[in-house]
Amino acid sequence: MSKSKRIALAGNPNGGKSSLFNALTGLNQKTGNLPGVTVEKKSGSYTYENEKVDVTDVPGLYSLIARSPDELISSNLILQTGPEAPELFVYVADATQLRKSLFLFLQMKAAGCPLILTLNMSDLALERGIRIDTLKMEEFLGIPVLPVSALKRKGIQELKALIHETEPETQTKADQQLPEPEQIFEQIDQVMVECISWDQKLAFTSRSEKFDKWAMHPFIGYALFFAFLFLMFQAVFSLAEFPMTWIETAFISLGETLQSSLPEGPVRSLTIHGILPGLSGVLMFLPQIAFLFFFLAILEDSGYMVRATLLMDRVMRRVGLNGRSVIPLISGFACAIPAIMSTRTIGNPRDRLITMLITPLISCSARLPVFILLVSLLLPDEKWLGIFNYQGLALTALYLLGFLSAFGTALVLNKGIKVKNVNPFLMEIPEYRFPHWRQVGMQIYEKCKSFVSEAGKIILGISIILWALSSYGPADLSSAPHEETTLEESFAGKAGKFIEPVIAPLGYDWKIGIAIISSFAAREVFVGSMATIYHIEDEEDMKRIKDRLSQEVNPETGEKVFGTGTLVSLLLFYLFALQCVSTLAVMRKETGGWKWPMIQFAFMGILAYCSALLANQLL
Amino acid sequence: MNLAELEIGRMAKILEVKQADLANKLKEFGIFKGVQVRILRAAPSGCPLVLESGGMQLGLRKEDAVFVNIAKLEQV
Ligand SMILES: Nc1nc2c(ncn2[C@@H]2O[C@H](COP(=O)(O)OP(=O)(O)OP(=O)(O)O)[C@@H](O)[C@H]2O)c(=O)[nH]1
Ligand SMILES: [Mg+2]
Repeated sequence: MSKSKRIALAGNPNGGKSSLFNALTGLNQKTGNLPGVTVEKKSGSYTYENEKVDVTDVPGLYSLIARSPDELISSNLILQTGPEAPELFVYVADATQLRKSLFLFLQMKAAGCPLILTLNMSDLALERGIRIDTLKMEEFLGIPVLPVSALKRKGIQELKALIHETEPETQTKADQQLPEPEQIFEQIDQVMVECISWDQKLAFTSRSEKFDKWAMHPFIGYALFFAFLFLMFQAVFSLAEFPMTWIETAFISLGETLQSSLPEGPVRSLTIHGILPGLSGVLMFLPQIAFLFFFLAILEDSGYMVRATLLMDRVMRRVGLNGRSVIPLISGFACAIPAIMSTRTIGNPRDRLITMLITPLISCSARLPVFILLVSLLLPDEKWLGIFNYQGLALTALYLLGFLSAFGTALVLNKGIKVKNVNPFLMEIPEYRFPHWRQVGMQIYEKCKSFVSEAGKIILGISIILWALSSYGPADLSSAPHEETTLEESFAGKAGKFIEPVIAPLGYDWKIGIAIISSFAAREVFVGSMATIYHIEDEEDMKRIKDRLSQEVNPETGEKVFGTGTLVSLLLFYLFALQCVSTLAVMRKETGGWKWPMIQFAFMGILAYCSALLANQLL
Repeated sequence: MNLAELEIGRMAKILEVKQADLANKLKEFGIFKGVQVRILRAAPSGCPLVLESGGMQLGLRKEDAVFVNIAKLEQV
């Protein structure tokens, strides 16, 4: 390979930069039909005619004057000078929104950036009878212009050829004042008149308009929003039940096979009682999690997410935030980490901080396994009025409670943190698009993959440690001969016993204590830990974890360990406690210190303990 | 008259935006003195408003819209 080129994408939010990045590099960056999906720089590369091209995808922005942390990342890259600066910018304009799109383009041109102009969404433009005379436009702007469709993968080879032909320029970025917006728009309007014509026959009657009549209807609007969320949780519970049972059964029979084929010893014990239950504790919930991701992908790809911000703005204002905070909160259903990162699009530091602090209260997919297991012990798998799954209803209630606690906390924080708001709320509203199956499928796949690999790593580690600590105890350290260590006498058992006085008021015994300690770094470990603990206790018996737990009785009182009080208390504990090191790490990164993550951790811990205590005492 | 008072669907022309931050931000969307706008609809609770200009839609709160002075255009 002879040489390499450094190029960067640029353009407004939601113009299709990440889609184009994916089309060029073959990678799978997240895309979605709402502004502000990408909030950090991402790089990739491809090779064309022996030339390696490094491509950088960036957050979108409307103008070189950045107003939020994500925009700052892009404007810094655009205005960068020196040998590290990109040698060429591929500007991604939305061909159906040229007036708006060309503004930043002309600013960049005035600033002296080396540019190629791509007119993305050309498939939509064609459909709507927008005819763009690209040759005339090239002449007018003095810059190469190319229609492309990142989604339909049209014009990608041509773009690669064009990038290849363009000589890299050493940038001479002008320090001069940018032209006034009015001047730029004068130029844009001229381009529009000269180069664009509309085919009247295809004149576009907006389907978006019709949808919005309903979506933004004073009554039906809210009803649709809540119906969607409700349907989502119902589906998560009732549709995923079968694949879940299959996966668990498969794990059990795998365990039985290994039991009879592996020689007895620590390796067999570790595999069957440590690793397998740990893994199945996460994998069996994958169908549910995939369903959840499916609904979230639909929400994002259709453009409905932005309508949700408008619907919720009123409510958010009550607690001192604005509709923009709804996007991180809803993506918090999947995982708090990208959700916290997505607050970078919020321009007001105070709003951003509050949103970051409350986001982990939203129930993420890692809580789902814990909820599903506990709810299935608490309620029968029956339908209320023959339609609504009881367990689905309980799940909805839990999510609602998470949301309410987030609002309540915001309300309190709003009183406490006083910084003046500077940026007015302005939100671009994209048109609805029919969700594209490839995008949706890819998103589900990517998210499930990272869920499994992230959770997998942690769980594998923790379940091995947990197995070791539960199989061996202090007695094994001395050389004196002794009986085989029971769970109660193991290190883990001792630790559980040690914290039992603290957790007994919540209704937990020492075994639950072990599971709680083990899931401090990642809450989804809970189910696997429970499985490991009970497996080690009765070696030979391979049962579904749910059945095993429901039979557990307190040796002293003879009552069921997992009674209503304990179950509700556990649900609340896992709903509120911040058991996720990754969240703490990302909070530290985004707030620049340990102060806020620590406050958040303490606050959520206290909330979890108190509500669990209350539930157990009352029920 | 300001934008918050404009009835839904009616075209109007921007006269002045009285708040600097808002004015600067709107300018970048091509909305400044002399540009035609209209309110497409309001969110269910009456706020934010959905502003349309040059084929683009923007969500804008009423409390910000009051800073935008406008003149109604004749209905066609
Ligand atoms: N019809 C059509 N849709 C497209 C095309 N390119 C992108 N899209 C869709 O436009 C939406 C936005 O695409 P993204 O690639 O996420 O946009 P982005 O510029 O990266 O947006 P931000 O990361 O928010 O700045 C997605 O729903 C894409 O599926 C295209 O060529 N045609
Ligand atoms: Mg993007």
